[in-house]
Amino acid sequence: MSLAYKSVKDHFWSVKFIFECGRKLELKSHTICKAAAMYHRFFKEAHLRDYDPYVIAAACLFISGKSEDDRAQIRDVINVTRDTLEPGCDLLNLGEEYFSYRETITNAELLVLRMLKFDMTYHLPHRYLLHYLLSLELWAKTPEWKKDMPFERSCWAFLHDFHFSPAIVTYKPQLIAISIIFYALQCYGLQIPTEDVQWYEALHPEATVTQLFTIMDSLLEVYDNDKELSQDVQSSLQAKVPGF
Amino acid sequence: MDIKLLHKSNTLSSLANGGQKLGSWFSHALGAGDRRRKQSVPPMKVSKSITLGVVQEHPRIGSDGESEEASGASDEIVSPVNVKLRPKTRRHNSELDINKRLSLPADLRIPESFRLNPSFLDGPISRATRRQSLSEIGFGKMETYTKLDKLGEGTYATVYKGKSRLTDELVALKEIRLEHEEGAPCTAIREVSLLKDLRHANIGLYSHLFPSHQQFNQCNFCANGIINSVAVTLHDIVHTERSLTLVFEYLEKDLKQYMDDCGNVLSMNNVKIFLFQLLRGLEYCHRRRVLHRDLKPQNLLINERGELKLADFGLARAKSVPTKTFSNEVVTLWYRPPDVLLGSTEYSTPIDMWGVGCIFFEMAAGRPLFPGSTVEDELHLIFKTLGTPTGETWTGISTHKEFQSYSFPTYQPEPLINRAPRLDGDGLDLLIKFLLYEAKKRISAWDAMRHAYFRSLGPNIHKLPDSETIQSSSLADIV
Repeated sequence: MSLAYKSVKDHFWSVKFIFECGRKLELKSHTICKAAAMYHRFFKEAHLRDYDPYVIAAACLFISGKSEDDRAQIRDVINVTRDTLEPGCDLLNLGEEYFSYRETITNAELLVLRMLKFDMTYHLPHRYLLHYLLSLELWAKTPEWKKDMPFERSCWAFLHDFHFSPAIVTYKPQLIAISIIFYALQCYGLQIPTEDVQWYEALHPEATVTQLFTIMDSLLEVYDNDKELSQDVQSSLQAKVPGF
Repeated sequence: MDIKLLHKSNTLSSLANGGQKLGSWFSHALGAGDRRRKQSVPPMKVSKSITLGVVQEHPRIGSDGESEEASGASDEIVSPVNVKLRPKTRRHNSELDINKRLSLPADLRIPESFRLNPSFLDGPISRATRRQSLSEIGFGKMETYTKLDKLGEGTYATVYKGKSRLTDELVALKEIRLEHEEGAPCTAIREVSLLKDLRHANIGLYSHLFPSHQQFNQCNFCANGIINSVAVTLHDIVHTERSLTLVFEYLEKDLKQYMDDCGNVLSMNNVKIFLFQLLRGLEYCHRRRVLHRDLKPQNLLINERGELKLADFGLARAKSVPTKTFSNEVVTLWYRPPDVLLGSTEYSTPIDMWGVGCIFFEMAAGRPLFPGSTVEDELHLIFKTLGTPTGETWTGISTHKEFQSYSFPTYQPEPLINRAPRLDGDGLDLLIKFLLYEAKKRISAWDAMRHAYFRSLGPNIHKLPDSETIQSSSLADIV
């Protein structure tokens, strides 16, 4: 199903757009996640009504690719984003339209860079998630999730989805990783054997149950948002197409 | 911080053997962290006595009024403690307030017009008003900096010597043109981002040392010199339509010029101190998983106090090392390890250590170790001196396609003492450990700093926090 991006102006859809374009551009997963984080950081400072979210999203992908050395050529970025916004359009020739797109993207690039104060470091929670999962595996010796559950895969999927929420740039990456494991454990009804300390407290001193629940709330909001928005768009599409 | 502790602690392996419970392991690791943190508190007494300083070999630095003034200024700002204790009576009251509220460098001269009309002084400052105020003071504006001479052309930019009208200090202006088809060059993006990351890390780690400067975490323009990091400090970024200019602290000269100016004969004591500072800088970067990748004497800057800092991080994290510079000059191959010359793209920290060996030799012997002009020539020179690699000295080399295609003659290794007679036994031992063919076996920066060669610097040299350079701390106190 192709998404009617242009009909909505919403952060959730912009991030969806980042992920879709990123995958079409064959960027690595962490490059795309970094672009999403950059997008959220940008709109922490700026207001949605002042900027076209898709231009900013495209610029974020472009910068993220450069800073992670996972580069997308500007021409590919332009073609992919255009095609994603308006499926089925022709490839652009090197003409006036192409050059104006290029200028838009490069200007947006500098705008984003300046808005982020040229600080493009984003410490991915991925690294922590991996490390914690390995540590827990050692702790629990033969964890149940190794047997027949896609436990680890779910963790990665949750982390991925969490990039739809602006909260991804609010909390420490360590705490995000721990919350995700915590949530996945709940989903599968798993337990980590407890000694003197709870496993999450052992992993990070700030990982209190309250903190973890706050972060999990943000994660769950993503799924609520997804449901609502897809219903909205569905109904608006139905309204447009009589007899749907 | 935490995850790094985990990586470092070897208890993970003991855990795998079923030796310890995770809980106790963690509390152990955290406890160790606390202890380490306590140890890292530097000696707070700072005096100007430098017992281990670089002996000036080139009297021209510091002899003219200008650089003497500059050195006086840096004397004051190098030590965080000095800044805090500095008598502030001379300063205009509102200027103090402005500095404090905007967390600006202490030695900044605020323009009269701004000082008389500091609209923001009452009420809280938002990010936007802070930014506005900084811009009114002159940050981020090209008019603030006067271009003096062109210093040279780097891999992707032109570098000028300049002067800041705000502080009267000399600065280095790295001008990156933006006419590039692909927007801002990715080397520039990476360099800025890395320098910010390195500096933030420094501040994060040692902010407890400067309780009155806690705002530095959000400060865009870090108090220059307070965090005297191992890498050259980025003061400001100026953006115009056609260019992006990075404003760096100005260091008198690079290692190459320094060596030229002393007729290529450095005292062995200076060689040791420069090498140690280089290793310290690299150890810091490597700990933060940052590779430099383009080490050469031209990228090591030295000021009149003999402090050596790393510069030009443009290639750090790049996938491939280019062969041409911005202006199409050929990039020097002299400091590249043989594995990279043979096409390896498996970059890790040892890539920098080979270059350290080459630079070490060059300082000690007064001439470059492997001055090759092409990749083949470079490899040839390396093999002629260190011996053509065999399966013994380099696992897997005998089946390496690229290596086979060159079909080098078989050379026997030549004793390095013949080429660097001024190096003592420890020095030669260390040099050989940098110049190992197999990347994995090359000595790390951390281990190299603890090599017997540096024993004469005293045991306390390892206790310096990252925010201090060897020169700035009073070695009378710690040695």
